[in-house]
Amino acid sequence: MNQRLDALVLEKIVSARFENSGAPDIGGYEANGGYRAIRKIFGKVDPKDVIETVKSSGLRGRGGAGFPCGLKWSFVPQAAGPKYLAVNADEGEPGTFKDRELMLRDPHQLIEGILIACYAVGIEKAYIYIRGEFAAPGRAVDKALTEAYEKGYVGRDILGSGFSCDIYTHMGAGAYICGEETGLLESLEGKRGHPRLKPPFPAIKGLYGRPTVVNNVETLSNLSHIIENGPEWFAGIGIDEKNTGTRMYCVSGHVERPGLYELPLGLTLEEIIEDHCGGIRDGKALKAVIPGGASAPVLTAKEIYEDKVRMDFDALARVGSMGGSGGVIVMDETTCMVQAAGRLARFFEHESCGQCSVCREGTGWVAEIIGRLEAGKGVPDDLSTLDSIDPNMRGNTICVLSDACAMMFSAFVKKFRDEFEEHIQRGVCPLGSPYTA
Amino acid sequence: MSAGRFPHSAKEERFEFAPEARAELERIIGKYPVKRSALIPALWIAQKQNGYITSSVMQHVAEIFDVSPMEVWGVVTFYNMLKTGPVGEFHVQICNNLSCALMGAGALLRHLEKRLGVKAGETRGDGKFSIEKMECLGACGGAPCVQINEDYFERMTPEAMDEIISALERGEYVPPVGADEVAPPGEGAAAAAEDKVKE
Repeated sequence: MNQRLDALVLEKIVSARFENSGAPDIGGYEANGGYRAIRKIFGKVDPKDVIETVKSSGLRGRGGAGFPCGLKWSFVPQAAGPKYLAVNADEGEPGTFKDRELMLRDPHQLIEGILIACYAVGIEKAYIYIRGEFAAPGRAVDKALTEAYEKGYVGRDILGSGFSCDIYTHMGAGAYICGEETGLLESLEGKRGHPRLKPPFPAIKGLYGRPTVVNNVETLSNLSHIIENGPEWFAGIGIDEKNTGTRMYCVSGHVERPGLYELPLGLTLEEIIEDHCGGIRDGKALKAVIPGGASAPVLTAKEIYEDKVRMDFDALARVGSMGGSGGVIVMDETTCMVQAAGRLARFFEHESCGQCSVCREGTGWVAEIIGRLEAGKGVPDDLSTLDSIDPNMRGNTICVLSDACAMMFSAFVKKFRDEFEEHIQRGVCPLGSPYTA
Repeated sequence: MSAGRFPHSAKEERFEFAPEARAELERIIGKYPVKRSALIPALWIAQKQNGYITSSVMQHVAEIFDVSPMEVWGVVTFYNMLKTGPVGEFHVQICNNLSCALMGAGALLRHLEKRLGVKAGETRGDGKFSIEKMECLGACGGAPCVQINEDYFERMTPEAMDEIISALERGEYVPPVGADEVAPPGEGAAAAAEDKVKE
């Protein structure tokens, strides 16, 4: 692959307007390049060419799986009848907080991205599924939609192009699993958020049984820039042709400056932590980092400082982890790995929708066993039991929540096995259970 | 997910949407080609009007959507934010996931329980405050994060929390802290207190 190690362009794309307090208003958005991309293409560029543009930009989904966006769109059949766009704004992957700020600080950028996606695929109705807790981002998007409707950017015959598109917000009600795309569709249909068996994939049979595109907020927020500046420009940012553009890295935990960092794909995790986030807080030593939200297997300090793991989709996959949702959770030497794993295991147990027994029971067992280790009541067989649960929780369920839980705990157990064993042998947390709630 | 039996109550008052709530619901139903999509929005509206979702709320909603009350109950119990019992006037939701735990959510929770005189999962006797431990609120860069009613309060310390709670106790309007600050104002953490200020 053609890597550009020395010349990674540091350019902000989706967060470029974040410092501009007028950006959430339509006037501020228009004054800063807003709604120019749809003027450029609506009624002028063939929708198929828009799909090709997005394909050649190399844009991959920013929600978790990193699937190429243009390719996803091209799976939607051309058949007559309604098609839908479901915008995944059900941001809930622990460690991730970018979509919230994208909606709060630049909601029109999202709306313009939705319009471009809908134009490209021939969709006339889009629903923005916003997690229930995000009342304020929901208000920000609602206000922006009202403004966009008033100006004729959304609705009937947009800008006289003959293309019509309605966009609605839809508030969730508190369930992590609704961030899984088919769980989201079930929830949007007014049901429990139980993920569906795939295939058929949503592109063929999605919302109300119709072809449906599901795209993440950050993915869509990139589109107006790709249309405006061209796919070559976008593909020129990032480390290679498969990892183009930027990511909104959500850095939390033990760094000097936690927060959102929009950086090109392909920086090393060390560079992100040391050069951009001010290093580990209080001069402490780094112990571990979860690089892409709770489902992404944990990385050790050695992998970060010695192996210099890069934060693009493929480099993370090569070391057995994943870019996921961009949630980077940094843990220093004071962190108990057993407690960290236990905290996440209880999260997965709580959020399992319950329809597959492997997941419902598996997440519960994992939470119980790690909880026992945390409490100093572990028995020698516990680690081999965890080892035996791992493969059974992978590839056996309707969705990947079970796999995510398995990937999470098995990485902790494998990479920090000494620490788990010490909890069993000493019957107490060597670090004094620092995060007991 | 919560479990249990369908909460039948013979003594419960019959629930009906207030006229303006019903009009709001009809407007929302119009957004979707299939009416059922408005079921969760309907439950949100009912919860806002009634405080929480009772069996008679579920029966009324079931009639509107032409599904069984059990079907509605199945939906209600799936979603964490749909409540089948009362919570406090100020519902203090503290994130308990990893990023917030790393940044002191455990100590903050213990402080809150002491300060408010109520345990997580409970509502204080006077109905003023309740505490709930939450999974990731999606504001991890501002950990530890606390959500009071609708609003987020990021980078909370015991001292900052004390000030907010004292202000709420005095009936003052308390604006959100963190990224929510840039949003158009809503009903806020202190909706009731805000109304008092306006009076």
